[in-house]
Amino acid sequence: MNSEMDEERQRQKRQRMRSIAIALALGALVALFYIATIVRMGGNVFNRPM
Amino acid sequence: MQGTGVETEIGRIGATTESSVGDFLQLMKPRVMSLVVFSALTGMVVAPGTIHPVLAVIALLAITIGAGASGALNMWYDADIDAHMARTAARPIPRGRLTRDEALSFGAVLSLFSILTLGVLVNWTAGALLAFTIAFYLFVYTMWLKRRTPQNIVIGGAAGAFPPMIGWAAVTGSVSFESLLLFLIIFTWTPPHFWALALYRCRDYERVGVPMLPVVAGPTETRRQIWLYSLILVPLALVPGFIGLAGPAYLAAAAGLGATFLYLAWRVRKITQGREADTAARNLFGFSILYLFLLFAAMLAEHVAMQWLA
Repeated sequence: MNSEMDEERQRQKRQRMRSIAIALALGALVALFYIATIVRMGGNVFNRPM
Repeated sequence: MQGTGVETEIGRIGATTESSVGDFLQLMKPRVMSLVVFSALTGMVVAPGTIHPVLAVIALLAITIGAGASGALNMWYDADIDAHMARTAARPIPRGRLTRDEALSFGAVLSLFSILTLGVLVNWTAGALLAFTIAFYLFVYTMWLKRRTPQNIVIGGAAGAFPPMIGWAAVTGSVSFESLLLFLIIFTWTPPHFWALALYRCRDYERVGVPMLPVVAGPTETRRQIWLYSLILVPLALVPGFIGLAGPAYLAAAAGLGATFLYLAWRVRKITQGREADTAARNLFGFSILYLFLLFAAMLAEHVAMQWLA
């Protein structure tokens, strides 16, 4: 009974770690794409004729 | 986080215990990654043209993560034999720190991310080369050749030789003779490097049925081929100094390093018995890593110095 609870707890822990890792990776990717966009477009980012 | 005390034991994949970030890092073969990032950086620096420093860092990051992803996919596929080899038994899957499924998803997601990042943010020539490298390492080397032919590391070595070419393509958007030369240097370096290791790890490979050259053709033939590849590698490494890709400082370094490489390869060929034979092979294996690192470091340093002085 105890080992079953342990296993379940470990499974949940692994799942939580995985979710955090995916969230961090996605966040890093968004930041990377944002920075690269600014670098590639330079000042033209703000050059929008009205 | 601490595991639950599963001992590393050759021959079995341990029960799954708690994993840590370190286990995922280990899955990416950090030592291989460091050589990849260094050779890719050299390719970028010596390539003609310029790249924005931020984009250069992004390109290096993508190439590094791509290399790590292929390492993870390799460990996913090879977990069964890794468990039986002393050199690899402590890897995260045989130790039970990660499951095979975790390694597969980790490797697949990172592959996709790194290729897309390099392709979209830098250029698609570099992105396509990275995709080809990862696919080549997984499908051609790991799945097809590794367990079938003693030429496994000769052909499969191409995967490890691509990074400077990818770095070059990140700057120029193309493939050229010079980048092909950087590829060829690593390509011809791979067989003597791995066969030196295989000579003193022969029993490991034999046990798991991987047909490395010493297992299939014997140590004498392996020693002969190490010598032959060294004879191709050393002069080839001098060529960048003659075609304008590198200057006299590189040439002097390549000559000195090459002479040492040939001396150690000659010792491997001549000393065939006892502990001394093992030591000779270990010395060549250890020096081969230093050789490639210093060769690219010389090219990189000379190029940076010349630009600085100009």
